[in-house]
Amino acid sequence: MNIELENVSFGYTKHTTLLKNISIRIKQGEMIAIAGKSGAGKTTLTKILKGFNLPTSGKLLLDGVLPVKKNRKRFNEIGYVFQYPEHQLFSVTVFKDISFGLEQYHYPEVKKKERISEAMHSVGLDFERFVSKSPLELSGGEKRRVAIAGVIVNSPSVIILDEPSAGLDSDARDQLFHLLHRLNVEKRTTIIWVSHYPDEIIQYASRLLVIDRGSILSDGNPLDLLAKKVLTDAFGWSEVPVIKTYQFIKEKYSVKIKEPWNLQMVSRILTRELKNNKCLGKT
Amino acid sequence: MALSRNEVIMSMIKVNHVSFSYPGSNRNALKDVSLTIHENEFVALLGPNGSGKSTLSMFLNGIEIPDQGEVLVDGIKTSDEMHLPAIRRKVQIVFQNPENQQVGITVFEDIAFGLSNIGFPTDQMEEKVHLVLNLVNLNVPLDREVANLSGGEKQKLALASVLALEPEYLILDESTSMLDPFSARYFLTALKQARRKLSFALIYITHHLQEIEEADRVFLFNDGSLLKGCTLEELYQDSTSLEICKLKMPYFRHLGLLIKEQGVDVLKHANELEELGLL
Repeated sequence: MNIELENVSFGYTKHTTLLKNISIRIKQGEMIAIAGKSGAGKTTLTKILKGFNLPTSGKLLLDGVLPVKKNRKRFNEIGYVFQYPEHQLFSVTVFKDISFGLEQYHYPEVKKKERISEAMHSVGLDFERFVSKSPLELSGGEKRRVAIAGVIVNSPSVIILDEPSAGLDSDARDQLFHLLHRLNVEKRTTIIWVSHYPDEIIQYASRLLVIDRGSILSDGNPLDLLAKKVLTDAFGWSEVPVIKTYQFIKEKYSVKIKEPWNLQMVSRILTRELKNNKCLGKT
Repeated sequence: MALSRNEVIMSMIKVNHVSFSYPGSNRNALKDVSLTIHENEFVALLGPNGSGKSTLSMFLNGIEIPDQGEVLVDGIKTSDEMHLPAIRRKVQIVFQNPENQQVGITVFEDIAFGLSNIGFPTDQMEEKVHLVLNLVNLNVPLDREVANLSGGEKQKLALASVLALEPEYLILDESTSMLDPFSARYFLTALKQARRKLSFALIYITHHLQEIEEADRVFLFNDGSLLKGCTLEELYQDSTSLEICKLKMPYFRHLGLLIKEQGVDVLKHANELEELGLL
């Protein structure tokens, strides 16, 4: 599904504007990170995309159509994973929690089980081991995966996630992003996620939207944007090692590193440049 | 209760052979864990999600009492119900989500709540509240509603509220994980400042090694067991443990190691590497 925002503004009351004149087009199959300071409007924007909030002015179009009246159903094709989704697990078993969204479709039991097992498999949860457990006895990372399985099971064409990696260890985070990346590549699922972590943005996003005080400050390739010191300064990211290193090597040696998160690659390039520019060190 | 003389005198938390499983689960959330945390020490509890580090923190101040084994705070068992209020006062926790522990409507009420529970004199309350707000560098009016604070401010308020009680041991359970990088840095700076002014042991639970560069010791957990206790330097040299505990070596430290391995003379390039922040 293609999503289009035309001059969208939004506020909960007449006096507060949380989003101002936002115009963007999101094509099926994009992998987009949304960044910005706390209170900039990131979550508000994702809620507009999912249809939780309707624009106070401007237009939202899904595949070119206004999602009103019977077209409102099209929002169902967009899956939404809240921040700390594990706080919303409420069923007795993992099975019931994941199947919650499926209930409305009246699938036969066998088909339901099949889909749930598939969704659990894709988030790396063993079906037999977890299916009849209570969500309450799972660890934070496992709960997060159950919550995400509950969204994936509905085969959404777009998945929106609000800070999906907060509180996860580096492995759980890597697994989560491998999963999202795979869905993006294999099923062309559009992935849109809110993130505070520059490292995961440059590694996984094909496009970065930076939101500032309700407006789009910049929109483009993550590495190009993060190479701009003015921008990274504004977000307190200039001191983030991976960005600092990228900017340092670009400025000092005019080399743009393709994969700044890949330390093997970075260390080889830095070693080469240090050895080639011996005298620089003594200035 | 047979305690050695040494243990009676020393201020410390002692965890002796604690095992625990959550009701209805046959998996041990903690398996025979023993460790000691000394006064004023900064220790970090590390390990993957579900490794038992948060579970252990619940035992340190008697929120949970062990099925097997015992926890002693300054020589007193947490199973000793009579002394439990005193133990809980000594050992304070700031959780991941500040909203889980905020009770007051206004900033003042939130801090005063804990203080009045311990019988703090009412006439000195306002002064005390100002003092702890200063300590964590939170500059908001006392009548500001907690609900209107930002995430970072809420977390600082949670910290101020527990520091007001002058704990001997402070547990921070992933307290920065819900904050954006800006707010997280401010929060950690406030914490450092507070530690310079007050003395308390800090028990810090995290997935991010860059947050605990000043830790005296780290304890590594996996699958409910304590793998080892060591210094950060020792941890950095133990790639197996880093791997098991799903810990990433801080970027610069790792990069520094790699370029040394590739034959870079770090001293010769000190200027550039310092500019980069690697030295």
